Amino acid sequence: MTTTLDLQLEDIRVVTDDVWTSFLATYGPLEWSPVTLEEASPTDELVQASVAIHGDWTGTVTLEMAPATAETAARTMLHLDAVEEVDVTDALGELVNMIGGNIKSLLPSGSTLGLPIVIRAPLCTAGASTIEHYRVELTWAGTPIRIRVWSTAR
Amino acid sequence: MRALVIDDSRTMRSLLSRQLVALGYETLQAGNGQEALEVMDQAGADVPVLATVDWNMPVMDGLTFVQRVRTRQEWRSMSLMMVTTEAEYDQIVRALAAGAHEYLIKPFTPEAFSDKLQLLGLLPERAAQ
Repeated sequence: MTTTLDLQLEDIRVVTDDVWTSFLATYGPLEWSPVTLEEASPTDELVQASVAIHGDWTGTVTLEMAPATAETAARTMLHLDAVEEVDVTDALGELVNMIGGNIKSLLPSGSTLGLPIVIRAPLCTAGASTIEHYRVELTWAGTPIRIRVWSTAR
Repeated sequence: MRALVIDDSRTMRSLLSRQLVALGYETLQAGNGQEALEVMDQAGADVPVLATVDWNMPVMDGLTFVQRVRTRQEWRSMSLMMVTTEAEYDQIVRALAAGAHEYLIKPFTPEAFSDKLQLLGLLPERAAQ
């Protein structure tokens, strides 16, 4: 059986806002962005963190931002003046883990969460076997952040 | 007092350790349940009073770690607090039934973490005031 995904964009924003408020409030709140990540980002490379959800509904939650934004997030979470690539990868992985885990809790019970994966990639488009269901464009510290929820075709 | 912070995320280990150190704890860290069991074996009789335990980790997950700890008489005194994104009621019940004493859902505020320590009787007196 495949469950239909029944979320509201506001659900995703609230989940993400909870994460940001807990760990990244130093640079101010998350806000809805009037423009897309592509329009706002000064770079064609992004840090993309993803975590898979398996169960009656199977898919992926991704968190995307420019490398400089990811570095700011890592520095803020770790309370460090400077961070290395490994710190950025770990911090972004934990952020998407918290967002994905809380989105999972809005789905029917019995789903499991995978381990996060973090990559640097060109501006991302859907793969052949994925369908983008939700997209939330936000800004934080004056820079764009995007959350997307994808389902895996069966 | 010593606490063991178990999480595959170095960022989360750092966040929790920083708060525990500020409360006067000495902290140990492990990246998964198996590593944590090894750290505790090495600790010998000096068992940490608290372990914070993530659920989803490679090699050995947090639930398995809790189950293993509860089979060891010499570790019975240690309080186990799950700190995880697993927020479903069934998961919470499973963890508590396996032997976890408290359950904190990520994301959490420093105040929420301190509240859980207080419930366990592990918040140093000066911090509780």
